Amino acid sequence: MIKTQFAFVPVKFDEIDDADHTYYIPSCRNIKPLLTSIEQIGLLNPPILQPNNSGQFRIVCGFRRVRVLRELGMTTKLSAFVFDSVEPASEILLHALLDNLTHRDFNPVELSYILQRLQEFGLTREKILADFLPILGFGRNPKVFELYEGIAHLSHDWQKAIIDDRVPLDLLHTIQTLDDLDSAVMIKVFDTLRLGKNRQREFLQLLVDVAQIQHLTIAQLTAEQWFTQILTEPSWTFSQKTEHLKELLWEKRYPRYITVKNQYEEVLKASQMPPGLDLHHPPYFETNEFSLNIRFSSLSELLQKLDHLEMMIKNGYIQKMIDLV
Amino acid sequence: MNKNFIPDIFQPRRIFVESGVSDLAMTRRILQKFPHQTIEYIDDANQFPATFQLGSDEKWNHDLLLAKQRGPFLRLCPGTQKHLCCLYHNLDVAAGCDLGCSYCILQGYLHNPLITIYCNIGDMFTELDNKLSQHPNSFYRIGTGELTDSLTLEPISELGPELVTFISKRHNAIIELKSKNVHLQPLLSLRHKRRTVLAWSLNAETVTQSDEGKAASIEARLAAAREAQNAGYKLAFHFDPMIDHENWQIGYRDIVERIFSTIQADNIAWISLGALRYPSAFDEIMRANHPRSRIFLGELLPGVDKKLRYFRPIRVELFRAMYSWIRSYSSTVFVYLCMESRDVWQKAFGWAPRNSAELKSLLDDCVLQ
Ligand code: SF4
Repeated sequence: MIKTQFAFVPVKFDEIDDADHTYYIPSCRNIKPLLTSIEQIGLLNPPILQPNNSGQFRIVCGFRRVRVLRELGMTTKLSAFVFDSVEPASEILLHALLDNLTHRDFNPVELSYILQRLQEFGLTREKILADFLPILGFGRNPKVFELYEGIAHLSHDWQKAIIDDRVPLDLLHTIQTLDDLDSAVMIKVFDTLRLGKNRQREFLQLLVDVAQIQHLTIAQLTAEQWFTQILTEPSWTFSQKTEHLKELLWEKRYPRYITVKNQYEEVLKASQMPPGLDLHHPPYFETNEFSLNIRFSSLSELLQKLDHLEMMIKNGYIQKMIDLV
Repeated sequence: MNKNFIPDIFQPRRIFVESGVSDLAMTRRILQKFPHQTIEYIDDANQFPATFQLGSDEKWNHDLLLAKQRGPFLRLCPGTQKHLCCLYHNLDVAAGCDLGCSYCILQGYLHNPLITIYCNIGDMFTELDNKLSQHPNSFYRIGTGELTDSLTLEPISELGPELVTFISKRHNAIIELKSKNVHLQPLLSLRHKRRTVLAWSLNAETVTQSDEGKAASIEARLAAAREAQNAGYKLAFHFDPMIDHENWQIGYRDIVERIFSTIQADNIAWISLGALRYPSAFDEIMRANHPRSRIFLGELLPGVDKKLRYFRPIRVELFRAMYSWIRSYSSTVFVYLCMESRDVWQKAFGWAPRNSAELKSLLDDCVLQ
């Protein structure tokens, strides 16, 4: 409940201190529509201000509106709602939030800045979870708090990707553990390869793991020649590049598994299996169960394939495969 | 880490008590140990996780909950599809642990971050009594170390002596108290009739130091095992999870050597081996809780049961080497694999039980003699 009062009064434009960011919630929204609207029909929704100790007014709600008015040169006088108290207060911030919520939802980046601001006002995590998150439409889940809290610290590129819904939010836990350089490299890799959300998850984990295994940073790992060569290869499509990189990263992440897998594929290749005869190794060679699929459309074709299978058994190919596991 | 490191006794930051157990003797006994602590009473511990909120520094294991065990205390180990299981029974006397190993699957299994002690132990003894009397021809190997460490909460719960005494009077059960802690003093003077197996989980020193949180040092665990031996207890050792790390051969061989130079082989009921494994769904939680651990960088691949395990040849190599080192000290100590297929047994040990029932019976024999 907001206890402070406010009045609707005329204010001189140069008394507004828009460098005072006490209640500022950064927004990545395009300012153009607002500019067009104010230019054409004027300011319909007056800003909300609060006097500060230096005799000026800080903005509670309306940073973008004040900015547009300045850009349009409408800087003489305006009418605004002005609070009667001078002290910054979380109730007033709440007022700013509620005012915003009347005409828009907050995106994850804005929510993150809001959480940051609320904490700067000295509110505890418990209080924010209990009183503020539900108002903002995010329930009382501490996980939501944890997830969104760190977004404010991410780079502009990441924040943009989040707002554009190009990255899954659950990835952010990992991203937030990276240093600035690695984080910048990651978003560049995602963008360059145009990775979908699932692929991003897989790639991020692979890069993080391989970098750790090799005691490198992600920036160092992705600066290695094999990586940059694939990334910049002009004749490959994005998905070909992604596949090649993935293959090489798996070799580094799971060297023993990939060695056995390659050996299996070599034996398979040497056995010259005809199309329509498919032999599959157990997933990750975890069990002993191979599977065989035979496709045929005539008796003679079936016999041909069975003959080939017999040859594979006689020449030891099947045994070699079994021995691999 | 100090060579003889012993963790401090768990000091809960907050204590919550479910109203239904507030008058029970065990609850009162526990609360008496914390006379200056504020106690918060709650109606229903099941509703608790939903409303419980963590502060930013409160990730794990700071708070104690005294609650009622609503389900059965005794559960047959669920085992794993296509793997041999020793058909062990878990006795859930508590859930949660203060030691904080990076690989601990309780991080994913438990729905709240508190350490819960179930205080309706009267119900537990009645349940045990009924089970053991109703099936006089079945033999039960029971352990309390599935959802907690069996000794770490002992200074608070003081349940151990009651369990040891209870089991000493039963002909068809033994209890195994499995731990990485050393709080066993009150057990040493009991008449246990060798129906309690005191067991320690061990690992290579480097793994203990990097990934076993506040657990007692290996030296301290082995010293405790020696004390238990002197008190006439049967002992067991668990190398689980074994971690594939640089120079693992040196690390594990060293521990095997230290076991056999500290403990007489014929006092060892069994030694188990298991390699790092955990449900893939827990991967993210465990990594987030232990960002500096390198154990998640092993060649862990999803198995048929959706658990991540080391690539099979790596497991076989770990087990085979351990088996041969153990055999070089004792030809008779029973060594078994936890949650592995017959095929892995065969490759690692050169033999395999026909099925889970045979494995059970072999293990039962180790404590029936
Ligand atoms: S000692 Fe056992 S129960 Fe405790 S944290 Fe370690 S693995 Fe988990």
